[in-house]
Amino acid sequence: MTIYYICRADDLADLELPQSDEELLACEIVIAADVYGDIDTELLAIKADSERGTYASLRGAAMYSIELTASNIQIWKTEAEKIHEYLLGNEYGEGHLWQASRVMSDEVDDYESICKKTRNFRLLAKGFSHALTSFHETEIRGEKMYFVKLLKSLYSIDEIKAVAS
Amino acid sequence: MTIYYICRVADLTDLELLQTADERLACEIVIAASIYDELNMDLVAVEADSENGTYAQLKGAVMYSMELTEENIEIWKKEGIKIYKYLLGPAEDNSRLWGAFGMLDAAMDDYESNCEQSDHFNSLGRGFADAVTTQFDENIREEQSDFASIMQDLYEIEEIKTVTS
Repeated sequence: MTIYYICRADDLADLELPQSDEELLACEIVIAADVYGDIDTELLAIKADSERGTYASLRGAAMYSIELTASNIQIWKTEAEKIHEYLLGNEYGEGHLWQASRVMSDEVDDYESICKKTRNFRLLAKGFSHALTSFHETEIRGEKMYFVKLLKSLYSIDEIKAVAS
Repeated sequence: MTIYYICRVADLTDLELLQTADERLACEIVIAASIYDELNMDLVAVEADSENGTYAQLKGAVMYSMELTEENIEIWKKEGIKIYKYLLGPAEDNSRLWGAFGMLDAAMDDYESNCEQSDHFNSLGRGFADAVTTQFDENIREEQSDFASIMQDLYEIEEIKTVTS
């Protein structure tokens, strides 16, 4: 098992930190698990049990800690990554489900617009927008939050709030 | 204003019934307005006030009567047919709203399948698609029903239930 600190790259600009595959993965998982935390900065992973890890911790640069093992790395590759693609997908949280619902949403918008422009069918097109909003805000959001909870548990992801400077 | 009888082709095989543009349109509109009657047989329209109309009525071949006017023909061409394409057709599976929903439905199925096959995330995705599918299905069917009702009023479409043979 290896514990990594996930840090803001800006806070460690004085260090040269080329990232290994495992360190990149640690960042990827933390980003996936922090959907509603809005990580909008470039991240770096550093082994906690290293001189640089101690330095990052002392500098107050460590935002999260995460544990990677051969087993949970495998879980990411064989299970979690696929689910992540459906729920979150890209940096904007636009996974396959979001994209498919976007197509539906566009068609509904067009349909509603056509109905409103008619004299005889303008009372149609009730309820679709509400259903789509409900889908996004209740169903997908609920799934994302549950997925994040499972990720945090599987990878022992902890937010580091109090750090010495 | 012209009143048409809409009949099954199979019941009038002894007549030569070349269809005019208005007669074809009459059939198209009745099919569009009769969603839940599953009009999946070939239909012909005959003018009610004609020898063929009287013959069709005497043979018990008349399923519907409907009225076409210059005004309601224009409504179909400018308004009705556009909405029809979103809701129904030419075949329900090919309608624009069902097509878009089909993509979303497929994405949800794939998502649920990935969750089910996972050892660590199989508590996700349970009943997810069912809730969404039920809601959209209800929305679309309600729209179809409202559309049919408006069409029936606009074209004075009436089902002919009692016919003499």
